[in-house]
Amino acid sequence: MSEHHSPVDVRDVSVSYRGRPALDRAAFRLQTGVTGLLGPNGAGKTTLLRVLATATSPDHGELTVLGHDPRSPQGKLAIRRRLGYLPQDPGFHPHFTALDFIDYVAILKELTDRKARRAEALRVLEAVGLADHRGKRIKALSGGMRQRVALAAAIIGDPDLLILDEPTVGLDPEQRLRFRELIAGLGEGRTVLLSTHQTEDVSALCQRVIVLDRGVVKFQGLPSELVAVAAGRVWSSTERDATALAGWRTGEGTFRNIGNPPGGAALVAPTLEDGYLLLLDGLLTADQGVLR
Amino acid sequence: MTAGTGTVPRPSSGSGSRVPDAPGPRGRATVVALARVEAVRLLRHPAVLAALALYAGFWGYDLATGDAGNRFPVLQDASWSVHLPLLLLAAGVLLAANQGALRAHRNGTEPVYEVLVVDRARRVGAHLLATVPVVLLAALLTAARVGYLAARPGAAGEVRVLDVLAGPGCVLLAGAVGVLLAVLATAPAIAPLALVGLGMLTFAGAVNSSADWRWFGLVAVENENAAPLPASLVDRPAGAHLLWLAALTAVCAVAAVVRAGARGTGWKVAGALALVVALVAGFLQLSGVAPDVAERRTAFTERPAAQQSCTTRSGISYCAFPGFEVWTGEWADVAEGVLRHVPQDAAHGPFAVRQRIFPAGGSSSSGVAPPLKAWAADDAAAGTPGAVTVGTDWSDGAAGGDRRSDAVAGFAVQFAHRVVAGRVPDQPRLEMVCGARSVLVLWLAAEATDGTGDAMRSLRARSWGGISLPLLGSATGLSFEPRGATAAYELIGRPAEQTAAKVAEHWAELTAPGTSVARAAELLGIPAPAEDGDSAAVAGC
Repeated sequence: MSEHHSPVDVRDVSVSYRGRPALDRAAFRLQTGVTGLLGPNGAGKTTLLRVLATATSPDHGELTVLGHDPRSPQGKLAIRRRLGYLPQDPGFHPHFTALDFIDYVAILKELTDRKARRAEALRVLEAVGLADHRGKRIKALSGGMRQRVALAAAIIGDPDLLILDEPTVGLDPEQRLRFRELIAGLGEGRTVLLSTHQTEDVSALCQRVIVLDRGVVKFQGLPSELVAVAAGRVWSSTERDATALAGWRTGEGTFRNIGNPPGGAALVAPTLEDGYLLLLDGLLTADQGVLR
Repeated sequence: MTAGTGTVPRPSSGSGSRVPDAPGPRGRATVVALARVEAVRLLRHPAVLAALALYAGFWGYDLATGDAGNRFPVLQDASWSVHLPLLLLAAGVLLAANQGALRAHRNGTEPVYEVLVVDRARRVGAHLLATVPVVLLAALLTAARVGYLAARPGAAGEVRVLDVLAGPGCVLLAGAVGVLLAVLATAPAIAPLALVGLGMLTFAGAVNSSADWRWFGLVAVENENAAPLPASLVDRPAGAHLLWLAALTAVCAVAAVVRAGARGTGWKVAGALALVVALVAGFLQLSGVAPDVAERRTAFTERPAAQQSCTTRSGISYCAFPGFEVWTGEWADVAEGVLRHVPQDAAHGPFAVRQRIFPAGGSSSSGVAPPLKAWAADDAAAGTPGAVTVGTDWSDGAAGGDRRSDAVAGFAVQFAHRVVAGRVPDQPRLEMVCGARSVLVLWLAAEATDGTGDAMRSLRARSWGGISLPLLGSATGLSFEPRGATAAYELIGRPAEQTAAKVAEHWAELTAPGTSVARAAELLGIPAPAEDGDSAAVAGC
């Protein structure tokens, strides 16, 4: 897909709540595949996702989602018809069965043909591995299963754009692994924006990554590029290095330091998390990866 | 789970499971699909199920116990009284609709729903539409109930369809109120509080059954102490009330949808129109009794003969208002039952029975005298002088409630008095029946049929001292000396045939005005009731 036809094109979008900026001139494009959205609490991730999901209107800037302007009623409707959204706390009707809940959401996505709707509900439940639990009331499902129900609700109707707000929060490692596999599968042929705190999720899943901090897009690019910004700035030492901007003891008993390494430091291969931390500490400019 | 493979199958093209992306909203089909799901949930809601179970339970209990209380329903009254159990269903629907419309908020699914294609206004519309099946169920139950009552062998009068429809209309309004409250306020206590308010309004309307404002409530009941009127005299503004309920429903529905975000001139016009119709209908409800109906009521009250058809059985003429002819057999059973214990040559015939109404009776102005002179003139003109009055209530003994039970006892006593005294009450006050006559009249009335015996025992249980039976709830009627009543009820507990033989033997003395209660007791072989000078003096004997 050419840049002119990006599924999501955000240009200088700003949102403020009671005069306090939540998004500040955010600009980026999303392509097909999974894009990770990293950022600390309060960075504006949820605001950004809500803007893209048509739940919040931007105060300033231009925005095109799936070729439509979400600020017009027609555009909003057109986007919603091709959108899947999993908010941070999706909520459930505990007395509904998993199938009934998905069926209900399907109606709200205008799938009115009863047979087709039922078939689609079964398809997405199958996709998230809950086909055998479709008749169970949601209140009887585990937290991980409920999260999968929410994901099934998001992907019903085969949306072209899938927005997932921290879907792996609260999941145990096995469930997180399953979710990663699932989201990776969903990214084939559609655009997925995955908001997360987990840099491992981004490393494992995402073709691209956006780092948001205090409403500002600090980085956008390939995960390898985010890793690269920390190249030469991560070293290992037997004791905590006072010159390091951040350092912590690893499982092997050595210290992992990031910052400006002293001469002769034992440099180690950086990870995506190292690049992310350097960005968050304001140590690097947005895209040059140059220490201030 | 397919996650292990890392792929999620997408639906095959043309399967119809992709969200349609043609421009423009497909509101109607979506709202209907959603309403269908919500309707099932509404019907399964515990409050609705409990209301339906209670409704069915009351009816089932009646059926299981023979439903003697409804053997002689007056259908024009039943047309509105069938609503009362439906109010339970209306309450259940209000709660269920409110909870259904609040579900997304309560369960925290609003963040998901708000970015789905179907907006909140259409969801609210679906919740409103979801009440329709339960309203149809209410209509079905009402129709079944009215049909059942109409099919009873003793059913009199005619069904008034507009009155009947108001019951389901209440359920529809309750559903709309429930949804509107959910849109206006998310606190779960609001709907129960509204229910309490509506309950108080309905109760206030029931205890102020002559107040015009009661029509602003859900069900406008009538004075439960007043006897039914023939169908052509009923002037309930049922049409205006139905319109009032429908318009209020529309106002609530439009308000809910608009509050939920619907925009457009159409909604404004619909809301304004509904409001105007509600105001007009509300005003029309208060128009009072139409002049032509008031004239008819006067004619039916003062000159009933011209309105009635008469049949003759065993030489007795029975005249009934249109719709009440079915009861003449019951009246004849009582009359013949009274005469069964009377020597054939002693009865002061010929006898006639005429149904009468007295709309002022049974109200707080029960001290009003009926038009006795007009009745006497009407009877004379119709060739039925001294016709015994029977009302528009009837029952199978005491089972139909106090008012209907007393109607049976009252007719039996009036007829027995006519036989014994040779005249009907003609004074604008209660006429005292003293001495042996009081014993004989009450005994004849009680022994006429099983039903009259039951009704007389019920009357005794509710009486203190003597027995009084006002005619049609008016100032006139018959009152019985307390000692005579005591003696009569002593007799009622004994074998009728033995007493009947003694009655026949001593008929002349027992019917003589001067024969005392003590002498009657002696003649009939029962202990004389204790002397009670005070009560006799009070009784005026």
